[in-house]
Amino acid sequence: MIYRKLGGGQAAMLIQKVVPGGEPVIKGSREGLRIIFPIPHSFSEALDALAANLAGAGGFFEGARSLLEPSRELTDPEMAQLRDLLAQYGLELSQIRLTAARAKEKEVKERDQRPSAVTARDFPKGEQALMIRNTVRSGQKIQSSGSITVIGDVNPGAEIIAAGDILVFGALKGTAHAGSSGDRKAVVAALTLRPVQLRIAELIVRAPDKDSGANVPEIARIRNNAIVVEPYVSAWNAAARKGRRSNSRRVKA
Amino acid sequence: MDSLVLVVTSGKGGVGKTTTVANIGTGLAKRGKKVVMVDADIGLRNLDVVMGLENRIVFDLVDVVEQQCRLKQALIKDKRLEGLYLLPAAQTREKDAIQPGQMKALCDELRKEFDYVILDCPAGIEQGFKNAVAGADEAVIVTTPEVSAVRDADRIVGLLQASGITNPKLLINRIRPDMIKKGDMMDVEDVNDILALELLGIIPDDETIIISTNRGEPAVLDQDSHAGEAYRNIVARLEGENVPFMTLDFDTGFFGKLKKMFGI
Repeated sequence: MIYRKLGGGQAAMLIQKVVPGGEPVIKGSREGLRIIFPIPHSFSEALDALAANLAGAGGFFEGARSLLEPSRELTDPEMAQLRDLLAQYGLELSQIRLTAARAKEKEVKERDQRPSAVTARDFPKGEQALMIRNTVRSGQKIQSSGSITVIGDVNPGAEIIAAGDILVFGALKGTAHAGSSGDRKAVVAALTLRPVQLRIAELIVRAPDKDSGANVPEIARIRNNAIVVEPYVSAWNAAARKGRRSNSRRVKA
Repeated sequence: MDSLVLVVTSGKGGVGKTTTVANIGTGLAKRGKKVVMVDADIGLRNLDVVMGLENRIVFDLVDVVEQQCRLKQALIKDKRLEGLYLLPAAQTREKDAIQPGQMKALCDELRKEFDYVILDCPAGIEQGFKNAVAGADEAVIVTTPEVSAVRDADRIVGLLQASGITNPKLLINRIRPDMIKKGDMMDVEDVNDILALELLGIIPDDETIIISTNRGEPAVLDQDSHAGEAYRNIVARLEGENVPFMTLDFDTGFFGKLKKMFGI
């Protein structure tokens, strides 16, 4: 599964990706237990591996809601077997979704149907998240077919290209291209958003020749066929505003 | 009019090649010429920054060579002057992304459209240098009055001759009359004793260059800049005018009444 391409050889070392191996993995998440369920060979082998994993947890998961992420689509009899297995350990199967490449087409379709508010947008599905924990420097190019998060700065001359969203926990001063395969719902957000050039899907904007703008976290997205940049307002805060609870606690911008 | 493909080179880094390209290109365009500046420094591009055009780059030289885009799409129109264009280098690639033959073909393509094609050569004598000089008719060698820079310039003269550019012109940058007066710096004659080239111009060390470079506004447009004036003279000489060399004594600051004509 290759979904990154880098300009600088050194930059490859900076990349940590969350990627499933051949073994099932169980993780806690906001939605409940996330069961990553790869099926490298036969379904029964994969099922055995998962059973072993659950047995190892010794009833720890009992009563939890679970989210199953199989690496391919499952047939009805396979589903029944899985439900039985999970039930044995007291797990309720609440959601099933495909991982990685299998899910990609579906994902794009779903994304396009989602409402435009960022608040309504889930973290991209599958395992397509790329996390960079370094300054991305001039001449480095980071590409992903999912979303990219940078904890650090993106300097002028660096490029971040993602089919999904781009989030920079730091200053984005280079070039960013979100939704590079045409997703117009993709967003670019940064604590300091000062890109030399910003691209979302097929739209391109360049920085004004004179520096301007408040030093607050900002988010860029497509509205009415143009890229607009606005101060970032948290989902919670946006909801609160809608409910006219103006005295509500605000995230300090 | 026949067009001229001019490469600005030096061997040594940091002597002012990019600044020279920006100022000569801008100066020529100011005189109504159609000019394209080509940044051949792939992987370490600067010309776009010096010209203040960085935020307009979508496609670059390597995209053109690899036919990812048309040449016209990669050309960036200057924000100040008509007839001035920049072909930026790729930043996320390396020098070996293009070959001398491809560069020559590109120069010949640009030659059809422009009066001047000015190439900003990378420092060094490797692939990047070979690419940059491949399509050039003439060369400007930039040096500073330092032994190391002059040594590298001399090496470049030899390499240029090997690739068929026999009479490069010399530009001596960052001259400090006060230091020359004290005997702490080589003067124009000292430099050209070694290099023995046709002198295209001399540029005083001038802080307005640093300011203009940081602002992305070429100094040649600044009527109050001494370096800008020197570049205007150089542009005039390139256009075939006979302009006397500048007196690097501005009667202000440290230089006092020293009245000395530098150059030939």
